[in-house]
Amino acid sequence: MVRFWKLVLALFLVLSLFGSLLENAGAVQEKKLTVVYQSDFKGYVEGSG
Amino acid sequence: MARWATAIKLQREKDRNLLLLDAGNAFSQLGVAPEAAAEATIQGMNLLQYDALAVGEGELSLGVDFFRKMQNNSSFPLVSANLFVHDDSQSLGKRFLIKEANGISVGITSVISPAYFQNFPDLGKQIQVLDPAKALSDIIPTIRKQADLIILLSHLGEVETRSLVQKVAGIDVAVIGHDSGVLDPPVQAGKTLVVKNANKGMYFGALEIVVDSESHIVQTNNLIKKLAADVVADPAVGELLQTYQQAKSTSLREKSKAMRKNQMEEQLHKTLNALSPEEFVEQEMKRRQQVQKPAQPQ
Repeated sequence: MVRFWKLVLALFLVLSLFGSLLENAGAVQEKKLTVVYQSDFKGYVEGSG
Repeated sequence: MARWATAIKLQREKDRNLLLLDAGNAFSQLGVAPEAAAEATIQGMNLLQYDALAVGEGELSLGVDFFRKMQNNSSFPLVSANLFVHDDSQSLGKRFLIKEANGISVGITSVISPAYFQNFPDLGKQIQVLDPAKALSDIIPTIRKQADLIILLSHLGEVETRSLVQKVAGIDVAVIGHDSGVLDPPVQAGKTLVVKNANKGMYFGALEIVVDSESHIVQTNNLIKKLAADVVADPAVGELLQTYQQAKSTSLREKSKAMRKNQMEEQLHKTLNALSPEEFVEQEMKRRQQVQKPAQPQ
């Protein structure tokens, strides 16, 4: 019986580790960039922004 | 512009993977010294390390030669996929460019509406504006081979942009130019996310794009905020503006001098027109005698 629970615990730990690795791999593969944009500034060099 | 510069610099501190884009009409032919304003704008954009500026009718409103001068002065490309020179069919701007940011390759192109040149008949003789949908359909497969994402700087206004991106496949993001106002939140038109920040530099617009391992967009966050009055002006751009203000004062003086000259000439014409031919001859004789009369020694 004890051997059975040890096996369950070991399986749980292995699966958690595997899941965590997968999650990390996914996070690394996502990439982010920011686009700062505007238009129609119309030569307002002194005013507005 | 100096406050806009501060906002960009703050954003760069937070995020190194940044593209800085303008969808056109950074210049205008209106104002006291439009050429000086355009020159200051380009210099400011160089300082801020812009990545691309779409060619709007504003960029061409001061003439093709001036446009070419600004092109040479800029450290970033002026982009257009559908503007060509009449004589030699050469593209007036760069048709597209590819930029790398955080390992994502981004293709950037631009189109303008032919309708915007109706008020510039002289320009119409020098340039040729292709149908935007046709120009994009031709160029997008070439861009797609080199880019994970495609951004269109759409100098077509909002209605035309929404319609175009549903007809032409492959555009991930469209930044609207020509119309004034902002789009908050952005709108989805077909598979394209459409954004707009067209308000004489009064607002700050930033779109955060997250892509997965296959370069599909999985998340976007758009930020549009009015530049608060307490945003400090950037000193380097502020210095540029002093040069512009000097040019503006000179231009104002010259314009006022020219106006006075025109008024005097108009007055003289009126006086002469009021004289009979005999009176005119008599006055002219008197004037010539006065001119020829030697100066009396003191």
